[in-house]
Amino acid sequence: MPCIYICGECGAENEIKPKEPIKCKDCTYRIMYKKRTDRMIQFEAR
Amino acid sequence: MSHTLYRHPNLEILEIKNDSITFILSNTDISVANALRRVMIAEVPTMCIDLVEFEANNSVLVDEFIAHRLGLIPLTSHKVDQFNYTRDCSCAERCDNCSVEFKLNARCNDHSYSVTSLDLLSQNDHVIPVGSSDGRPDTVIPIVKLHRGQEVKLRAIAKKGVGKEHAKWSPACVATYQFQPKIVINQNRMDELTDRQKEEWVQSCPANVYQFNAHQRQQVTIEDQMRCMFCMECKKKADSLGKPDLVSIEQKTDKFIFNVETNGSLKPEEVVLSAIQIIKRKLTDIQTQLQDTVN
Repeated sequence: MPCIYICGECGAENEIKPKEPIKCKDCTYRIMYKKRTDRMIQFEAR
Repeated sequence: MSHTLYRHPNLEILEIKNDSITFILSNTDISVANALRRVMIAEVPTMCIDLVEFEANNSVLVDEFIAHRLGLIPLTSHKVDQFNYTRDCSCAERCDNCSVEFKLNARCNDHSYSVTSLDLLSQNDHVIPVGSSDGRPDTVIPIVKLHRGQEVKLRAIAKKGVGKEHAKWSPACVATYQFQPKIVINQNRMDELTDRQKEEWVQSCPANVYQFNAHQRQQVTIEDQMRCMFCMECKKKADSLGKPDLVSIEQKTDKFIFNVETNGSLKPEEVVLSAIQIIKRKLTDIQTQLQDTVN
């Protein structure tokens, strides 16, 4: 399963492989965010 | 207070409104009055959202935050007796006899959109968010505000519960009792005061129990003794005026004036009746268990 992150600057989706530098391919920004899961998430309403 | 062995508690209703009730409980003890108050707050069952399953949420509020907000929405629970507690139900996880499912699917295509309790679609017509059926915009409960392109999609599961597990299940917003005050003004002592002093003494009460008008009547009268909150400021003022026996204030501890307000999930009279039923059931449970151990 590819590991896709979202760039914190331009919002582009980046696939980052192991040992690769953490860097956006479009804008070279180095802060990445994880994508939200596409699975259902359950919470207790308390 | 009567000291006969058997007493018959008496309940006199003073006022019933849509969401509040005032009644007098008499001929019983403080312990019974307090038990009734505590049961109304903590042990009257209602329905509330307890589980939230998110499919999508890119709003500004995080999932946990929205789930918590959904849990606090009061749901109409007039048919709560038809439901089982999920832990007592015969089903494996949950079923229609112990839960109600809600769907919320909101997406903003305009500039902004307020997701409210109207967007919560219930599977059961008897269990809906309070205030969503009377068509008034001011009784609707806001959940989250969306900007263009934002979306919330979720499934919420309401379950039966009681206030001692989580306060969201409590039907009572206010459940209080007060003692009936017995205020006696010593008119002979009062006559010894000047009009200025009488005025000062009347003003010393923060709840405006007394009234005095020097032009109309020379006497200090009790305007509404039910306003008295036993702060004893008038006693202190009387002491400072050098008349410690000017007024006597007592609590009549055999009459309890209850004031109960609900959040709309149950009618106020339903809360009181349900609480009395629960106390009765607890007592019979003790009785049968005691009999079982003795035999």
